[in-house]
Amino acid sequence: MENNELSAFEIISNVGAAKSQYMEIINKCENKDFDLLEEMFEEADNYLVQGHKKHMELVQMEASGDPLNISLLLIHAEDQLMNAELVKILAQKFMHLYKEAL
Amino acid sequence: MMNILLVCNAGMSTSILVEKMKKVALERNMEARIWALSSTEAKNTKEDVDVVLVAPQLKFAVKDIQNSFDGKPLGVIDMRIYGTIDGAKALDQAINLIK
Repeated sequence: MENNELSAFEIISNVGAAKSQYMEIINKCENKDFDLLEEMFEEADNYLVQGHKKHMELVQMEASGDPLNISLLLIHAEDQLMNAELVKILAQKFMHLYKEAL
Repeated sequence: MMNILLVCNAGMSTSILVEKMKKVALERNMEARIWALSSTEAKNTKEDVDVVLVAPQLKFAVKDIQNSFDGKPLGVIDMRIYGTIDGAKALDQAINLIK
């Protein structure tokens, strides 16, 4: 149980940091500040990949017959992961939109 | 008595960190009230708050949250502390912010 809790938190903290960074990108675009956006995307993407890796580990564990202890916390972690994915797509779209609208 | 408020999206994962922090405070014989609220609830809280800790997933909204707690010490929880649910280090961060 303790291990599962840690795995969930590893996912939440990584994808949460990614989501926050994508939101900051949108905020910057809103202020017509287009500096360092590529670097910010790169940093956020790295966090997102870390979260995905941990998630993949769990998926593989389950596929190999190791039963996972499915908790609400783990479902919450997947929620956060999907959320970060969505905000990433929106951040990319917003960036193009703001750049072109200028 | 130290009032430590943790703020996150829904208050769910953070409430687990709160439990760990409470345990550490108890072990240290420290008088502390530690609780978690969602960012929406936090903005409207009328309770006494000495220090605010924000979850890493809300880092982008930190200015907005700071505005609701003008002058109060506020910090974003280090994502490594958050990711390992380290109650002791999170409590240390709160204490350091007050100093």
